[in-house]
Amino acid sequence: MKLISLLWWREGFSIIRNTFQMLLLFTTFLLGIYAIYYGYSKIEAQRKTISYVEHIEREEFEKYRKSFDKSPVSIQEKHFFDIASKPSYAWYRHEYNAILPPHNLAHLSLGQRDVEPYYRKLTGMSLYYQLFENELANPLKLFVGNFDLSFVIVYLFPLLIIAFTYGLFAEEKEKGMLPLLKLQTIGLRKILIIRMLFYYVLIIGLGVLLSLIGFFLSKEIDTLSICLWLLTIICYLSFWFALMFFLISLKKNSSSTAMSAASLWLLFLIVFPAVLNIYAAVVYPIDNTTIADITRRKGLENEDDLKEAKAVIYEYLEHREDLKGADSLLDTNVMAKTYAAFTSLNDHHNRQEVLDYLNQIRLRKKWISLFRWANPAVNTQGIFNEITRTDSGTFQSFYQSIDSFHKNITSFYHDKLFMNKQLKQKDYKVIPQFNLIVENTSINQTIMRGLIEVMGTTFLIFSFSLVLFKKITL
Amino acid sequence: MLEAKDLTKKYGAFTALDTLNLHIRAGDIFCLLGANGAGKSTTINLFLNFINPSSGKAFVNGLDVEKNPQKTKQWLSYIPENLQLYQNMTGLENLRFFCGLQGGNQNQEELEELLIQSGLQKDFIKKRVSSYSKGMRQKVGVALARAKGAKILLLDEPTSGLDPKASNEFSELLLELKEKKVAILMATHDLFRAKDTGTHIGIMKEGILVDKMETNQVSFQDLEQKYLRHMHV
Amino acid sequence: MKNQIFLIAQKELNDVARQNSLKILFVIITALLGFSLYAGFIVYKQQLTILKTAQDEKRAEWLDQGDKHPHIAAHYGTFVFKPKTLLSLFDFGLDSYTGTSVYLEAHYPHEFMFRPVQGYGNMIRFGELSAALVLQLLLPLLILFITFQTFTKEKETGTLKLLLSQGVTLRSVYLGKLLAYSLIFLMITVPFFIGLYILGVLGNTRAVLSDLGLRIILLFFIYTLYLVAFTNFSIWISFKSSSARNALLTLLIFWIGTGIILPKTSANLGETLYPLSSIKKFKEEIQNDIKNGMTADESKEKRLAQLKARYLQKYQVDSISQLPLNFQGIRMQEGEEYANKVNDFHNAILDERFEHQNKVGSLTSFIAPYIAVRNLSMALAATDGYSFNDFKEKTETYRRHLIRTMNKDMAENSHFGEFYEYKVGRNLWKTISDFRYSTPAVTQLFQYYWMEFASLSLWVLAIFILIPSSNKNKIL
Repeated sequence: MKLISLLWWREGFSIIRNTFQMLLLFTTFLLGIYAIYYGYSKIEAQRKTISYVEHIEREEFEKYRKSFDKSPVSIQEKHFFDIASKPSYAWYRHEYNAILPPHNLAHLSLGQRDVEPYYRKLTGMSLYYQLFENELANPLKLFVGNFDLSFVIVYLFPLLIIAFTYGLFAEEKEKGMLPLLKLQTIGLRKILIIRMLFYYVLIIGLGVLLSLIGFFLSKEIDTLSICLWLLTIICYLSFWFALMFFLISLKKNSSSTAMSAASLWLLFLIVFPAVLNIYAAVVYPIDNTTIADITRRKGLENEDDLKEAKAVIYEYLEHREDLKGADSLLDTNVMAKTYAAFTSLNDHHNRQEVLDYLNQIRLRKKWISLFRWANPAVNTQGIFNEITRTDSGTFQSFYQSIDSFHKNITSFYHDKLFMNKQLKQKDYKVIPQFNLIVENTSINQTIMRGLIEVMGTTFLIFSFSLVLFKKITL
Repeated sequence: MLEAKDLTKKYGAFTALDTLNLHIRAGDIFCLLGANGAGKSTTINLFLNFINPSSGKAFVNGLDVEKNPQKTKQWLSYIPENLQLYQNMTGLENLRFFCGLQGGNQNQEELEELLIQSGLQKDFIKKRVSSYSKGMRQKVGVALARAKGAKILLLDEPTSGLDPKASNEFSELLLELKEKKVAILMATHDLFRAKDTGTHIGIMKEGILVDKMETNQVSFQDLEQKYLRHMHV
Repeated sequence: MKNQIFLIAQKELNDVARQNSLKILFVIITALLGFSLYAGFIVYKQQLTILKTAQDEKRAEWLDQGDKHPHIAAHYGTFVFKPKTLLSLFDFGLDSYTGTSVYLEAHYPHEFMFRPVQGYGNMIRFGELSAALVLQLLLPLLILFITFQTFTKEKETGTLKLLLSQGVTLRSVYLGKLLAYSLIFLMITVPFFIGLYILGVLGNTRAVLSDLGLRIILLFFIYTLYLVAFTNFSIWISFKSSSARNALLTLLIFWIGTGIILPKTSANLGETLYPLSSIKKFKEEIQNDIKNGMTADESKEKRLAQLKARYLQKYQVDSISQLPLNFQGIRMQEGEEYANKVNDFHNAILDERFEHQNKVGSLTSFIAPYIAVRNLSMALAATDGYSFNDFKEKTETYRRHLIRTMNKDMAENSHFGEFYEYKVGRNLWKTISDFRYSTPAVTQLFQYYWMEFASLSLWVLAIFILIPSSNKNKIL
C-alpha cells in the first residue's frame, strides 16, 4: 500500500506540473460536456416533436369524439362529422402516430436516432409508403455523425490513455532512470503496473464523472442501464490499457511506442470498420430499386367502372375470412371500399418485395456482426447503442410494432366500412393504440455477450503482456 | 585567423560571455578550459554564427562573422560535442554527403583515403554509423575537416567519453593538422589533453577569460593548481 | 544552393528507405489505396447495372401503362433513380446518406427515399473505406510518422550543426526535406491519379459526369496542395519542437483535432445553431400555404376566381363551359403551378438552412484543412450536397414538365365535364422523353466552395511564411 501511495503521489505531482497533460485532461472534460449538451439538445428536440405530434393527435381525436355531442349545423361541421363518423372518410383521414420514445440515456449515445425516423404518422393508407418516409436531415451532418458522449468515450478516451501511458517505460529508459529502478527490490513490472493503475483510475474516473453528469440529465433513473453503461466504460477502457501495456512490454523507445499506439487506434477505429463496410458493400450489395415501387400511389384506372371497382373489393375480401357477409353489402360506399381494398391489396402485393429488401439488409448485418467481437471499439459503440435503445435492432422492433399497429388501424376502420357500420362515439374509447414491443431480454443478452467479448480480449492481451514483459530484455 | 574583440553574449540579465579578447593564429591549438556553463561553447557558437553577439565582434580571417555568415564558414570546420552523424548511413556515405554539400567532388577512393588517414579502420568505412563508437565518429568529423581543407577547426569537448587510446589517437590527429598550419580552438574539461596537445590554454569562469598562458611555459602541476584556484574563487 | 537542396533531399529519401517500419506503412497505405479503388469500382459497376435495369423498367412501365386519362397518368407517374457518378468510386461522399429514388407524380413533390445507410446498423457510421479517405486521413498520418523527427533528430545528433557549419543554410535544409517528403507522397498519388484517369476514360460514362478529365486533374491538384501543406506543417513543427516526442504529440493532436474532432464539432455546431423543423411541420406549412395562399389574396378560392375571370375575359365568353379549352385542365395546371411556387419558397428556406449549417464547417476549414479537402473532393466527385440538390432540381423540373404536358393535353383535347371518357395512349406518353441527367459544369462549384479553396490556398501560402528565410540560421 505504501508503495502504491508513493508511486501514485509521484504520478499525481508529475501530472499537475505538466501543463500539456493537464490541458489534455481539461480539454477532454470540456469535449465530454459539449457532447452531453449536444446529445441532450438533440433528444430534447425529438421529445418536443413527439409532444407536438401526440398533442395534435389527442386534439384531433377529441374533436372527432366531441363532434357527436351536438348535431352539425354548418357545412364545415357536417363535413367534420362525416370524417368522425363515416369509416369511408375516417379510414384515410384519421391520423395516428407510432412513436419510439427516447430512452432515458439516449442523449448519451444517439446511435441511429438521427438517421432512422423515430415517429411515424399512420393512417389506414398503404403502410409501406408511410413506413419509409424520412425525417428532414442534412446529409453532410448525417455523414459526419454525432458528437455524443459515446463518441468521446469510444474515440477520444483511448487517445487520452495513449497520451498518458505511451512513455511510462520508455521515458524512464531515455532519461537513464532504469538502472536505478532496476536496483529496487520491487520489480519493474510491478512498478509499471502500479503506475498504469493510477492512470486507469484517473481516466476511468473521468469517464465515470462525465457519465454521472449525463445521468443527472436523464428523465428517470434506470439503474440497470446506468450500471451497464458504467460497466461498458470500464470494460472498453480496460481493453485500451491492456493494449498499451502490451506495447510498453515491447520496450521500444517512446516515439516508436507512440507511433504503434496511434496506428492501432487508427486500425480499430477507422481502418478495420471502413474495410469491413466496403467489403460488405461488395459482397452484399443492397438493391433498393425494387422497393421504390411501393411509394407509387396506385389508383383505379377508371373510377366510373363499377365492375373494375367491385373486382378489387372481391379480391380483397378473399383475404378477409372474418368479413363474411360483407360481399352482400357491396352496393353501398363502393368507391370508398374499393380504395380501402386497393391500398390493402397494395400492401399485400408489396409485402414480398419489402421482405426481400429487409432480408438483404438482415444478411448483410448478420455477416458484419460476425466480426464485431474482433473490434472492441465497434463492439463497444454497439453496446452503448443497445443500452440506450438507439441501435438498429430496436428500430427493427419499432417497424415490426408499426406493422401490427397498422394492421389494427386498418381492421378498426375496414371492418366497419365493409360491414356498412358507422363509427360511434363509444368507438373512440377503443381506438387502436400503438404498442411498442422491444425484446429487452434479447438486447440485454447481446449487451452481456459484447461485454464478455471485450473483457475476454482484455484479459488475453493483459496476460500475454505480463509474460512478454519479463521475456523481453533490453 | 580567429579573433575575438570584446566579444560579449547576454541572455537577459545573464551574461554567458563577458568581453572576450582572443587571438588564435595558424598552427595554434588553443584549449579553452572551464566548468559547465563557463562560456566555452558560447564562444564557439559565436564564431560559427549560431548565435549573434550582444556586443563586440568575432572575426574569422579578418572578416566579421556577423556580417559575413556564409563566407566565413568556408574556412571553418566544426565537430560538435556528441556528434552522431546520420545513423542509417555508413561513414563513407556520411562523408560523401557532407563533402557534396560544400561542393566537393572527391571520388570514392579519395573519400576512403581521407577516412583512413583520419584513423578510421578500413572495415568500418562501409558499416553504418550506428555501429561506430564515439571515437570513430570523431574520426569521420576529422576526415570531413580534411576534405574541406578548412584552415580553422572548432571542437567542442572532443575527448569526453573517449577511452585513453582513442583520446590519444585524436590528439595525434590534431597535431598533424597543426603541422599543416590549421588553427584549432578546442573547448574541453580535459586538463591533461589540454597540456599535452595544446599550444595555448585559456581558463574560463562564468563567462570571463580569467587566465591565459602558453602551454610550454607551465607545468602540469602548475596548470592544475591555477585551474583549481580559479574554480574555487 | 540548389545542389545542396537536392543532396539533402536525396539523403532524406535514402534515410526513409532504410527504415523498415516506414516501408511497411508505405506498402500498407498503397495496398489500402488499391483495395479501396478496386472495391469502389466494383460497387460502382454493381450499382450501375442495378440502376440501369430499374430505370429501363420504369421507363417501360410509363410507356406501356395503356390508355387512360392524362391526369391519371400524371398520378401514375414515374420514378427517377439517382445515378452513381464514376468518381464516386474514388469518393463516396454523401451517396449513402442521400435518398436513392424519387417518385414523380402530380400535386406532390415527393422526397427522395431509401438512404442506403438506413438499416445498415451501427458499423456503417464508422465510415466506408474509399480512396479519398486513405488520401485525406491515412496518407497524412504516414507523412506525419516520416517527418516528425526530421529536424529534432538532426538537432539531437548534432548533424544540424554540422550542416550549418558547412555553410548550408537552414532554408536549404528545410527545402531539401520538403522536397524529399513531397516526392514520397507524390510517388503514391501520381500513379494513382494517372490510374484513375485511365479508369475514367475506359469507364467512359461521361453522360452523367461532366468534365471528367478536368475533375480528375483538379482532384490531383487539391490533394497535392493539401498534402504539401500538411508535409510542410509537419516539418515546421519538427523544426520548432525541442524533442521528437513533443513534435510527435503535437502533430498527432493536430491530426486528430483537425481530422476527427473539428469536422464533427463544426457539423454538430452548425446543426445546433441552425436547427431544422420536423418533416411533419414542414409539410403542414406547405399544405397550409397552398390552401390558404402565402398572402391574403392568394387563397385557393381567390386564385380560382381570378383564373376564371381571366379566361372568360380572354375568350370573351360568359361561362367556362363555353371556353374552347377544358377549364379543368387549366385549373389543375394553375393549382400545380401555385403548389410549385409554394414548394419552391419553402424549399429555398430549407436549403438556406442547410447552407448555413454547412458554412460553419467551411469556416472551420481555415483551421482544419482536412475539411477543405474533404468538401472539395466530394464536390469534384459530384457526391456532395450541392450535386444532390442539382439532381433534385432537375428531377423536379422533369416532373413539372411531365405534369404540365399531361394537363395541357387535358385542357386542349378534352371537353369540359368529361373525365374518364377521355383517354390517351402511348403517343402522348412518348412525348415525355426519358430522364437524362448530367452533372453541372465543374466551374459552377467554385461559388459554393470558395472558402475551402481559400483555406487550402492559405495553408499552402503558409509554406512561404514558415520556411526559414535565407539569413536565419540561428538554431540556439
